[in-house]
Amino acid sequence: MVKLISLRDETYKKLATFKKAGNMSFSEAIELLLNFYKTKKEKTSIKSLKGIIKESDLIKSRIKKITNG
Amino acid sequence: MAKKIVKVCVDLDILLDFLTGDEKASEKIEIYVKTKDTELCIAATTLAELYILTKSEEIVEKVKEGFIILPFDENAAKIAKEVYDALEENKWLIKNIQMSKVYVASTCIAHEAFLLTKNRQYYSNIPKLKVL
Repeated sequence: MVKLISLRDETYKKLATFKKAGNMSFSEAIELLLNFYKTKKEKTSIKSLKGIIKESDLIKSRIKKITNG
Repeated sequence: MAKKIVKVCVDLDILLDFLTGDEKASEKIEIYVKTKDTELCIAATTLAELYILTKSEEIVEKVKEGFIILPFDENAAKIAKEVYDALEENKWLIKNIQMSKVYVASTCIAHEAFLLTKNRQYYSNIPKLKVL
């Protein structure tokens, strides 16, 4: 199924240039941009997770069973 | 043509080290954070282990925001049998490996993800599994 969307002229030109450079369809170009944004957002948030768990946050009696072997 | 996104699935050992602030694990994860066209993921079964291991659900919720969760779906369930069959060929492996690792390996194969782990000895003999 297809949907029609409206773009400003300037946005259309930028998107058309981007799609042509990557030999993509408009759908592929938009998906690529959305994925890039999503990935960038996730990666930024991953960095902030370093050291989020303190030793006291872990249930020590379960660590060996879960992590061994 | 659109570039293919490479999925890197982080195993529990490295994930826990990273979340508890270990520098080595952090360096490994940073490599993939900086690499273009990669997505950092964790298996849904690893997420389950994280829930079991931590006292605070809030922490796990934050982890969920950062990583893509790869589901253990019907396809992964089917692949789990192939993984188990392959492991059974090695007596030491089948005796020592936990089922959770079978599920992680199957999830990675099902979603065409690379597995980032410290436990290479358990995973290296699994056909089709790409271990980092």
